[in-house]
Amino acid sequence: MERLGELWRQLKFIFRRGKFQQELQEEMQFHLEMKARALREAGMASGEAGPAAQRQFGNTLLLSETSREVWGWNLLETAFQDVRYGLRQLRRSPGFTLVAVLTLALGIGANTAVFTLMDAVLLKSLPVADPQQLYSLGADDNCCQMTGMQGDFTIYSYPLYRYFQEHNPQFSQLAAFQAGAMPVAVRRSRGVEAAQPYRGEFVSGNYFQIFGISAYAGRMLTPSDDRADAPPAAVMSYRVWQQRYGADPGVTGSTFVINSKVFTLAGVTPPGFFGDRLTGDPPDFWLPIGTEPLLNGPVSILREPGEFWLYLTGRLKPGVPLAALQAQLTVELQQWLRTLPKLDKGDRKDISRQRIIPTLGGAGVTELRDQYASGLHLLMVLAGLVLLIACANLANLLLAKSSAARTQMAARIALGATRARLMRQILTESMLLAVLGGAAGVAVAFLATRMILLLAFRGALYVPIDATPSLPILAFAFGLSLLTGVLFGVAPAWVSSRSQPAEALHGATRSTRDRSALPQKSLVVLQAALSLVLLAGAGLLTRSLLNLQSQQFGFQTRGRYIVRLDPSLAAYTMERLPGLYRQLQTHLAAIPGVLSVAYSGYSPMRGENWSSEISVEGHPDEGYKNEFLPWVSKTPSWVRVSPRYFATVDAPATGQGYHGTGHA
Amino acid sequence: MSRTEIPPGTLYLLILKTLESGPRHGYGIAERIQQLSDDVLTVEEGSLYPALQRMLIKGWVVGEWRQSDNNRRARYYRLTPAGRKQLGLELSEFQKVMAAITRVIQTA
Repeated sequence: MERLGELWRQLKFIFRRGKFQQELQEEMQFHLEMKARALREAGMASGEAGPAAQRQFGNTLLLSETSREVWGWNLLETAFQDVRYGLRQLRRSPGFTLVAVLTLALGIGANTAVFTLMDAVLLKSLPVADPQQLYSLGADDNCCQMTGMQGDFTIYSYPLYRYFQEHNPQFSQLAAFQAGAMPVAVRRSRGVEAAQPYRGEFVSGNYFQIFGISAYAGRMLTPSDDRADAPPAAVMSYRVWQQRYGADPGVTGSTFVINSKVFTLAGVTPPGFFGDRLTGDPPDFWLPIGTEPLLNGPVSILREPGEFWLYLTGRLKPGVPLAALQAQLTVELQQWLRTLPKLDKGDRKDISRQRIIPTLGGAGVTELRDQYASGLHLLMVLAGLVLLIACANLANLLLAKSSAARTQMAARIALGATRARLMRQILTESMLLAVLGGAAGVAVAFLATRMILLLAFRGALYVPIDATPSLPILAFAFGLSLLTGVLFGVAPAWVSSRSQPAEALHGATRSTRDRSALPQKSLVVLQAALSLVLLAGAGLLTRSLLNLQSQQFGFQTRGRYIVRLDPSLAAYTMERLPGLYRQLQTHLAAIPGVLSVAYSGYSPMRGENWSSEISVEGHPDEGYKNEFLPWVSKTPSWVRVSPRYFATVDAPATGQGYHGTGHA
Repeated sequence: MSRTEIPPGTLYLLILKTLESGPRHGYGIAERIQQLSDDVLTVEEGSLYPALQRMLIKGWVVGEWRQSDNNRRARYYRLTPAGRKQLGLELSEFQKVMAAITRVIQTA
């Protein structure tokens, strides 16, 4: 009961703080006057009595402070005071505040952006069930279709997939899916809309089961969809369903025309599922592997044992040792490879070196992750350096500022302020700056993340990575700004609080420079060193970029344009292609300003080539060695080109000097 | 003349006791203690006012503004029933300790 009364009185105090101060003042004034009168009555000269009373009484200001402290609101009150005072200080020097906040925003923003991306790309697993049981067969990410030996196998043919499925009971399930999505042209059967380009991916019937994905609407594919006699079915992504079909519940069960073949739409994937890997423009449609012959017709690769084009992911039964699994898979692979027809001698010799390394597949086939991990780590180091420099810079600015305010500090100490109180006040000011910088930093981070994603996924229409900093990331940014506040606030606070009261009397900052000189100098050195590292890094990057830009490809890039087209999407058959290409060549050449037109199977700069069933005379087995890069064993490759091709890319095609694919 | 600080822990007791005979202002309390102790005990203003604040929180005294003898406004502290109870407690506690100390001094 007593405690309650105390609390009540303490609470009431908050609302009458102003009155309290005034009353205390009056009370002490009264006390002083009474004292002075007593002294005069005791015979002291009236001019001396007042000062003498004051001397006996002591520091009025300090006494009123300690009297206030009794009420227990001291910490809160002074914090509030400090914040108000700090804001006033910041407003008083807008230039300094602006520079400080911008510097911090850059440092904190860069770090938050990098961590947002790292969180999205490196740390987030696919939204799948029990990802710790999922293993990908192969650690690398070969793409997208190849023949011959791979060393560490990553992509497989359909017959090889079926072989593993039959021989490996350790997997409760083994799914296959196309490495690299393909363009598809899709339209709804009824209605008059033209076919739109989308991304499609062939997947085995158990693909959605193994990832634990259940349908948002309709049903997902099942193993029965893989059977040759099953009616063609397809699954649509949630995003396409929302954006292109207005979330129409009638799409499931209706028919769609995909590459001029009729499919029934089985269902819609749940939101947040972006396929088996993290890439720009994830698949919009998933099609059963069994429909590959239907779509690809005469160039179907489903039954080709030597055409590798599928990633395999298995759900491992509990308790299976990984080493034994790896050994068994490798043995099976080598046995199976020996049964392959049409293997040349070089490949046959290499069979004993082929192996399969199962890797945890919870994060999907981590193409994007591998691609960007090192880049992100570099970015993280750079962002960290930027923040350090920002801190050093700010600490230095604050040091300079506190040197200027030194006389003021000395005066405050002379008036009875404790050093701890002064330090707290200066730290509060730094914290204020840090929090302001942190808030601006989040805005910078938001923009920077967008920008990095735009750069990383150049040309992608849709990026399945959320550029919005998540709550933990925001907490991280806030913590980071507080930490920087402490980091760059401590030195100036310490230096300021060392002021001697006597300095206030001297009125000069004579000794000031000497004391803060050491920390200030070391900060400048640190800053210069860090900036040099950053500058050197930036210089090297720019240099490499320039080198890449002026790289010699063996053909001209200036004034050349590449058009890619896939006539099969418009139901062109093989027989009609030569006519189409010749027609296109004439039409394009007729456009004013076009000097020359040619076509080829692979365009320059695409980085793809065809190397099967070709060898150089005299080197039938191992291909030929590249004379400049002797450690690289190169097999010859070939490209189908039209007349005027070499003239169009302006590559000299004399003798053996042509490296026309741009993929040397 | 050397002045003696008030023994620790007895400041509340002294203030409560001086207020028993009627309300006083801060200066009056200090004067009264000094006077009654024949100038032996001096209450520092630096401890008097914080102590008064603490007693306000505890509810032992209440402050009231009224005219002083010389027609000035002053804050008078008045004992509350809780303060009177506290005075009793402090007194008996002090007497217990005093008696104990006396016994130790006389026998040792």
